[in-house]
Order: sequence, then C-alpha cells, then structure tokens
Amino acid sequence: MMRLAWGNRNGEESLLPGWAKWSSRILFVLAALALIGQFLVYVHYAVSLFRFPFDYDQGEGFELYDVVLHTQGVWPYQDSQVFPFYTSIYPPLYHLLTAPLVLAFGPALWTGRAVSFAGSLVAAAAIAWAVRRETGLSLLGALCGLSFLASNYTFAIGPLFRQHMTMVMFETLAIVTLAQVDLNRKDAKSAKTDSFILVALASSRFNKMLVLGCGLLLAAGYTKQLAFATVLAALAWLFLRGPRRALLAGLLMSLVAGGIFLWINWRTGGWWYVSIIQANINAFDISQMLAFYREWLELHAVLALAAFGYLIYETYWGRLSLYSVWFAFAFANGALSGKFGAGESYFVTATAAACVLAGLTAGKLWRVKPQSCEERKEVLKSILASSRFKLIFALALPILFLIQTRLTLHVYTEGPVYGSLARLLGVTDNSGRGYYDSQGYTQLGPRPTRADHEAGYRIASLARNAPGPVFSEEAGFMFAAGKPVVTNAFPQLMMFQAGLFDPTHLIEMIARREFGLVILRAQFYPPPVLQAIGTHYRPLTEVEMNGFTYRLLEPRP
Amino acid sequence: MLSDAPLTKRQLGLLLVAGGLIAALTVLLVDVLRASAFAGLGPAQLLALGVCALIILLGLSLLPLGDRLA
Repeated sequence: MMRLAWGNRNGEESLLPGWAKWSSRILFVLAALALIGQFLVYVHYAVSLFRFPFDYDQGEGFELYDVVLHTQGVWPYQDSQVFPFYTSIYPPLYHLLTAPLVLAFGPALWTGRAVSFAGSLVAAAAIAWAVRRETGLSLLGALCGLSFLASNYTFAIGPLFRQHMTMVMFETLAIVTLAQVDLNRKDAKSAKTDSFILVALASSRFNKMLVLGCGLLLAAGYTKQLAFATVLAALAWLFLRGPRRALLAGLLMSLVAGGIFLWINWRTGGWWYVSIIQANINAFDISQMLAFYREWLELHAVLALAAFGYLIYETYWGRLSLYSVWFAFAFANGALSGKFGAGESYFVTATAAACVLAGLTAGKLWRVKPQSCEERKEVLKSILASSRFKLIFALALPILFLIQTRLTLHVYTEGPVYGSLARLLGVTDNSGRGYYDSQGYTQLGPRPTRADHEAGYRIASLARNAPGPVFSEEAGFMFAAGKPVVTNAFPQLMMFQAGLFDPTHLIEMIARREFGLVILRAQFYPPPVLQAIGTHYRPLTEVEMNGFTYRLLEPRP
Repeated sequence: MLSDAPLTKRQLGLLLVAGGLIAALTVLLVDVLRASAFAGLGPAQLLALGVCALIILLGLSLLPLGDRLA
C-alpha cells in the first residue's frame, strides 16, 4: 500500500523503520476504506435518485423540460410573460448532452441525473490523474479524487438533474489539459523564434492541447455561466507563462463564445440574453456569502489548509502552477454564493481545485530530498528532507485524510447496515429522515422513501385528473401526468424582482381559473401571482414528500 | 509586438497593485455612478475595498522578489 502511495523510485520509503512502514500502511488502508465507504454511500444515494421519478430538488423537472424542448428543436429561451410562461436561465450544453438519453428512453429524470453523476466521477478521475501525473503517486491521486466525491457538496448535488456538476467536470478536464501547456516545453520552443501566428496555427502537440483546453473551457461556460472564473484563471495563468499566446487564445475564445452567443440570441429573438444574463443578476447578501465561506472552510479544513499552503509556497518560493491560480479564482468566485438563489454548489469547483493542490502538497513534502539542500543554512529544507520528518509525515498523511473524511462525513442512520455503522461512528440522524450530515440539517442527501414515491404518484394522479393545464411549481409531476409544463417558478421570481417579468397575462389566466389544479412547494413565485392564486383558488389537500409539504389548490367555485 | 516571455514576480506584483488600485477606484465610484441603498460606503463596498487592499498588499510583497519567474 505504501509502495502504491509513495512509489518507490526515489527510495523515500527506505528511510522509514519497519514498524513505521507497517503503521503507515495500516493507516492508509483505513483512509482508503473510509473514502471508499463514503463513495459507496454516494452510489447508493445516486441510485435512489435514479429510481425516483419526481423532482427531488426543486427545478430538476424544468431542466428535463429544457432537454425535451431541445429534442423538439425548440429553444427554451422564450418570452415567459405569455403562455406557457416558461423560460430557461441556463446555457444549453448540459441539456444537449442529456438529449440522446431522453430521445432513447423518453422524458425521465434519471437521464440527467445519470449524466450529472457520471460528470462527478469523471471530475474525480481527472483530479486523481492530475495528482498522479504531477507526483507519480497513484494512491495519493486516488485518495484526492475520492476526497472530492466525499465532499458534502459534491455528494448532495452530484446525482441531481442539474448542470453544475457537468460544468465542474468540463472545468477540471480543461485545467488538467491546459496544465500541460507550457511555453517551456520542448514542442513549444519554436514559438520564440518563428512567426508567432504561424507557430500558433501550426499542428503540434502543444497547440492541440491548448485548443483542446480552450474548447473544454468553452464547454464549461456553455454548461453554466459560473465557469467564467475558471476561464479567467486559465487565461491569467497562460498570460503569466506567455502573454502573447494568452491574448491570442483569449481573443479566439472570445470570438467563438461571442459568435455562439450572438447566434443563439438572434435565433431566440433576444430572449437568450434576457434569460441567461439579465435574469441572473440578483440581490446580494453578504451574510449569506460569509456563512457559505465559513461552512466550506470548516467542512474542508484539511484540504483548504493544504491548498492555501501550496498557493503561498508557489507565490513566494516557486512558480505559480495552473492548479494554484485555479484554486485562487475558484475560491474567490465562491463570493457569488451570496447571490439570491445561490448555494453551496458554488464551492464545488474550489473543492476540486483544493483536492488537486492537497495532493501536490503531499507529493512535494514527501519528495524533498537531502541533496536538494544546497546549503546547510536551508534549515526548512533540511528538516523536510530528514528521516524524522519522513517518519512523521508518513504517519500523519493518512491520518489527515481520515480527519478530512470525518469532517465531511455523511451517512444514512437507519437499516441493519447503516444503523450499525452510524452507531459505530457515533452519529445520529440530524435531518429527521434517517440521514446524518456533518454540515447539519440539509434538504439534499436523504434517500426518497416508499412513502415519498407514493406521495409523488398521488400528486401526479390528481394533476392527471384535473381539467385543463396544471399550474405546478415542479415539472416532474407534469411528465408523470402527461400535462404540459407551465411556468418556471424560480426564474419567474428572479425576473420579476429584476423588472423583467410582467405577470399580467399569468394573473389573468389565474383569475379566469383556467388551471385545473395548482401545486405549490416553496412558493417561489412573484408575490402578485401568489396573491392571485390565494384569491381564486382554495386548498384541496396537502401532501408530504421528501420532507416538504406540497399544497394543492383547486379553483374556487 | 508584445513579448511572449514569462512574467516575473515583480511584474506580477505590479499588475496586482495596478489591478487592486483600479478595482478600489471602481468600488468607490459606484456611489457616484449609481444610487446606493446606503449613505456613504455600504457593507458590500467595504468588503470589496478590503479585498482590493489585500490584492495591493500581495502585489507589493511580490515586488522585492525581482526577476524570479512568477
């Protein structure tokens, strides 16, 4: 195990006494088992969601509707002030990636959830591969990749019908690809002597990686707008390594991204710009942002300390790697979590970058060699190269992985296996739904129960039997009921707050009682719309599903 | 034509100082360009100015590192 963790090329392991080698191996096995255990919980959660045919997180069904519209050749960026009062506020790539599954298997929520889950696995594999490539240490890479999947945030949103994890996948792949693009590489040296444009266009491995990396950045941006920080990070790092080439790359990317943007805007009559840009400029709450920063730092303390340590080291004593620049930008981008409607998912990219840097830190500390201490006065290097430090570090590193895994611990607490495991770990249900999460109460994470399935089918049945269209805050019920999707709650609220949504036509339809049924969950609609519903509809019943109360209303006589 | 030589720590420091100053000025100009909900500097502006100050300090701390590659 140690050999897998540290390789044995440079004989660092031989510096350790026999008892330390075995102790370290046992600790690494424990760390690996803990992370594999968390991974199995993640797979269990994902499979549970694949089998649940209704919205688990509010808005999933609308993402599915975006996919359906794309399969019909219709842009989802529309005037939401007229029937069916619908628009999408996210770019199309994730929906287009999911489209083949929807075409093959029909409009089901598992399709996008599977794409998102696969994206998280690819991102974790890319993290592991990057650490392995930079340090030569396979097990270290695997532990870093698994630590990404063990993050509470990755776990919670990974298997959702959301584009966020696919964006993180493209971001990670782009960074791992571009990290290989270095003007000091042999195949890039000609750039210093030949005509720059010709060299830039020449077919070389260097240019291929640059183009591939930039393409992946564009893919990330057209999956979700939040990827702009990673795009800036990559361009900033390229600028540090070669300003001319970075500016050319940035110019070409801007031309391609701008061309696609203008084309979609033209095809949608300008609703693309309104939906993607204007509707996403929301009110900002500093206290919300600070709470998310604090929570991320508390939950990922070990990874964060390693990442900041490595960033500081490279800033003052080494050369800034793309991974460090990426982490700095991603961490700063977490500030956008203060936006209305934003959440913990805004830190998933920072988690991915921190996992890579944690691996690089460990590899760097382990690989300090006695011969690298050119002068005796390099005290720190001498300490790091000493056999005593190697001994402490070989024992401390797996313990640090165990501490990090405990910090992000999330596990189910009921059933013969999970119940015993929870008791062994000394944790109890803190969600009220048979689930413990170290971040405290969370809506995402518990598995849907049989009762949740039955509740979903009951609501869908009521929707199916209602006359005319159904006004539903979640679209999943509409697919099950065979009804058209009407309204997209949260974007409507944000656009109303931004002065981009006039609810007159919608309120007129509500006043005419044209909707046979109204289904509300969080009531994320503009206040005038909710007032109109309250005036013209009366309570029919309430249904509990996934810890939420769904309020169903019927037209008043 | 713009050099394609990699940037030094000192050049990066200068860029950070310049960037921090421009960002700080922009934050201060928000009050002039559009009405704010707060009289004087709002909490978001104060936080942004704090971040700008950190960027400037980071840039200044890199200046003594000279021609080492950034």
